[in-house]
Amino acid sequence: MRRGSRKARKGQAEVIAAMILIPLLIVVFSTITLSMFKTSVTGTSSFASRAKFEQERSSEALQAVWADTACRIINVGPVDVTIVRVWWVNGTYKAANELIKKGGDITKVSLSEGSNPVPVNAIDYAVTSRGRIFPFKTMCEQSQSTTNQNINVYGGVPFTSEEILNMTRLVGTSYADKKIITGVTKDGAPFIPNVSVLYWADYPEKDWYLNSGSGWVKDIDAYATIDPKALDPDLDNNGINEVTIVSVTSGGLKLTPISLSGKSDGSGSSINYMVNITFVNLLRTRDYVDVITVYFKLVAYLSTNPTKQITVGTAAILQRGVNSAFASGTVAVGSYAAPGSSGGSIFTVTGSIIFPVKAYDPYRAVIVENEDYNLTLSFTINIPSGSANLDNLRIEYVAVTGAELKWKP
Amino acid sequence: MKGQADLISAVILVSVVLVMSISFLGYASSLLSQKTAESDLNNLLQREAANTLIYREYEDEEGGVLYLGVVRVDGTRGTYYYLAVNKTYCSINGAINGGYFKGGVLEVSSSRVYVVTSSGQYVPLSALAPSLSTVPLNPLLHEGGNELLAVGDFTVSLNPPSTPNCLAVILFTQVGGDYYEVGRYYETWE
Repeated sequence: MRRGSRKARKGQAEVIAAMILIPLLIVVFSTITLSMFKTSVTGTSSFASRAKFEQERSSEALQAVWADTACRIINVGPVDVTIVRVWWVNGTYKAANELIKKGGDITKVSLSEGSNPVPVNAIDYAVTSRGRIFPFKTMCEQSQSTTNQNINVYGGVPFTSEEILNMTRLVGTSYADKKIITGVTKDGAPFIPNVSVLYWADYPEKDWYLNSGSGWVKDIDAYATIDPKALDPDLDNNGINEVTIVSVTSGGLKLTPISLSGKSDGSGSSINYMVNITFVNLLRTRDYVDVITVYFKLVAYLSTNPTKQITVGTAAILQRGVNSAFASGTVAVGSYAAPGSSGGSIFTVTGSIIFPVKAYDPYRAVIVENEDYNLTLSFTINIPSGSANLDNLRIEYVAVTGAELKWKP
Repeated sequence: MKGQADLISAVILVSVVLVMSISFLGYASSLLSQKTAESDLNNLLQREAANTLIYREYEDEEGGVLYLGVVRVDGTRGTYYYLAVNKTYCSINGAINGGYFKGGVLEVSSSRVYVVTSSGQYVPLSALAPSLSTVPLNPLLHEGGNELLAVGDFTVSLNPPSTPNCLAVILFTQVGGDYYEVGRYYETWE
């Protein structure tokens, strides 16, 4: 009986303790769980909205285009952009309020304090509501300099204008550092000892520039005689100036376009000329290298039409230090009569050269990420026997996809 | 007689259990409310940090003024307090210890100003720099959107090649009487 009473008391105590402890535990655990959930939800929603903001911020994209006499800023990005402040390099700034809807454009920026709207090309920097800074003045100047050259590549090319080595970029700013090395051989033997490239640039100054491998030298016509054949800056009259390959002869320094002629001795054999043009430190590979493609256009003048087809073999070499990678290219050759010309025709060669870096180990070993490379374009021109004469050889453009062009306008 | 003794011992036992339970409940409640307050503070600071963007906008080299943009992502108004310091030694600990501070509207006890360490923990400045009793803070009334913060008036130039070669601008939000970091701009010069 005593044992039974003790058991009953113990049971009572356990029930009482359980009644107190269980609600207490429920309260503690639910509060902790709720608190953790709240922190997690707050963190997730805050960072989600920040991530969305960062995505919008990084996708803001404005582009400058010169139309008539005004610079136009076009919103080419996927989000609307609002200009909230404008700066000048003297350290002054003004609050602005100018919305550029996606796909829309502006030529002036309205200021908040009611003064007259300011033309975009008179603004050094524009700041957006998301905190991006766009150098309007520089964008307009660069746009103007490229528009003057009227660079067009026909046929819906798969690259942007940033990747076209147009002629403004060939000279442009820092022109003394842009080295182009040119060489010509005839049937494997030296042909012309001193070969350079000559170009008439509108920018940075309207002037003749010569590149003999150690950067562009301006005002070359002041102390050299340029052959009249080289004086036409745009041989095929398409609005784009070409770079002319010229021989440099000392003794009065004369610049003459090279002339590649066939054998007229009746032997029937053709001649192979090889023209190499190397753009030093032109390309920089990106973080991820897959396929690098080089596009080009060669222009020449056929003073005498050949009796047989002229063939042009093309190749490109990417070189870094002692390592180099070689690839041969596809080519399309065409010729058409030169307008107003009594004889002869314009001879054009366009083509592309592909380096499938990722797919082939030998390329992968040489072409690595984030390195600078020289680009050499190599043309093997076979002139058949006869009186054919390929004259005034020029390069109109070089374009690259899969790598960055280091030479800036 | 025996029944009375059992009853008394049961009452005593139940009373003791009740007293202990209430004490424990009180302790647990106090602990919980403390944890809840910490959690709320963390929520607030997480939200403010995610809501604040600070970036370099322009440097007036002649005037020795650095202009920073401060964006509130959600576009709401708010008040920040900022601390600007430059120094040759560029870790935050080194900068705070003996750095050149921009003069402030407020002089706040360093034990009430919390910065985020490299391990992601909030610590009071007094723990990083025991000799620093107060730090100068300046208010930045933010109207929402993108506001400009001009940092200048240093006793030494902001620009190289003068002695200090790093600058830290730290944005704080005020919670109670304490200031917590929610954004930081950092710049070093070679």
